[in-house]
Amino acid sequence: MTQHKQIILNTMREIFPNILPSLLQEARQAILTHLNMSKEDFGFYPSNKPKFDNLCSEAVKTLKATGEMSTNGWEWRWNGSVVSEVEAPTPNTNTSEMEMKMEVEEDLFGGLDIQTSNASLYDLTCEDTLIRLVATTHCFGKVVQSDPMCQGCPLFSQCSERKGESQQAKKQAKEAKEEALKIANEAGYDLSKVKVPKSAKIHETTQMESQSDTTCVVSNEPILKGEIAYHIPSWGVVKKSIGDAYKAMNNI
Amino acid sequence: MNRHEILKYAKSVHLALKGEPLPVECSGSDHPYEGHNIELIQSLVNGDLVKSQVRDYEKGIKSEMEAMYSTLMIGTPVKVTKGSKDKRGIEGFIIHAKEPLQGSGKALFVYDVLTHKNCMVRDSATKVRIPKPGERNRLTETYLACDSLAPHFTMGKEVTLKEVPNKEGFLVSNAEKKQQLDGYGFQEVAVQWKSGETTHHILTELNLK
Repeated sequence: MTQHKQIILNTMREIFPNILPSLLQEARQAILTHLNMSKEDFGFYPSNKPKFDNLCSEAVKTLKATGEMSTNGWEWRWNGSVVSEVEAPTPNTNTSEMEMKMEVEEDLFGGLDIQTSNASLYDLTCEDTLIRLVATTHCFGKVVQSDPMCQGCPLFSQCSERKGESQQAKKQAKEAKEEALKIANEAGYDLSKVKVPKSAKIHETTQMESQSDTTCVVSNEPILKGEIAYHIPSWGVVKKSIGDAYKAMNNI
Repeated sequence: MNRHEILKYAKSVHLALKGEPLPVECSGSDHPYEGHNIELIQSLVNGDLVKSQVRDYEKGIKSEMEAMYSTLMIGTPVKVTKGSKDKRGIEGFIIHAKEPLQGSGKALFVYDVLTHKNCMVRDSATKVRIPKPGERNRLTETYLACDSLAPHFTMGKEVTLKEVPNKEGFLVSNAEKKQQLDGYGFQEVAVQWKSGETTHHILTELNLK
């Protein structure tokens, strides 16, 4: 086992009982923060990809083998029972030929990392391998069904699934926006052409009872003293129905 | 919305939100929003617009100051960048520019109306700067105050230092402008303090007893 992997393993045992369950990206970041190190400190593969993510995956594999950890999709969970302080050997009777080959290569080259660029060599039924592969595939989630390159990609089905999820989320957001615009339109405000300044902090919108007469920044209508309105920081005061529409558009 | 309209709207939003007028932070001269806190205005109204208006305002005032500095005009705000420790860093106004006794360029008399530090430097040892809000107002007020106070500051009168009110002394000269300033600058007096030292001050630094 490399020294870096051992450091990561020790850190995981130290901090994971307190921070898990967590998404893998957050957990990896927590390791770096705890060690006060950056990804760069763990070195790079010849392809300039940082080694840190792979080292984490290997450490997770070890912890999973000892039963200390489990993973569910992108989420890492801590099972809470430490088997041994010393890393237990990974008894894997189903080790694939590829994994065995990699281990042999690692022994031969004394920890020197071997770059395997052909994605199809990976066993995609292994969750860790899949996570690693997805992390290094920049176009993941952008599948074009008719593209022969995409069709030949081993991540084709997962990629289509992800794209579907993001499209669904986009669709929902679009529907919410249309609904809010429609409600505002019924109240007499066409918000579709209103240019919201980038500075506007819609998520920090606060409801207020106007203590003096002012003007709606969107409709230019007067907002009278005592009227309930919204203040959108770094933009201005808006009528209640307009504020409600913007809140709905932003899922607030 | 222009700067005036933005400020008007910010005032109305602040009043509607808090029930009190938008506070004034500093003097209104050389300030894009008449001395009101810029960050507060940014949080009340269109922050992007406020930022761009502040940038435009500073750009405008900078080019105005650069034009003044190119002729070493009296009243140009400058910073002393070279010279002894005492001089370096002074941020004042040119109160007089004249040919030096020797060497090239011009000799500048620089006065900081906020700290009353002053010095004479070569123009090449200065650079133009943007005046602080209210600073140019203070300069004008200082000129006016010195002119009106001058007849009252006569030899023998007892005075105190405004900054250290218990420091007492008496005037050992009448109020007059420095000879080397050729009629420019502020009226000043020599004061002998009770401690025995004698120093020179412009009239706005002192209180008559």
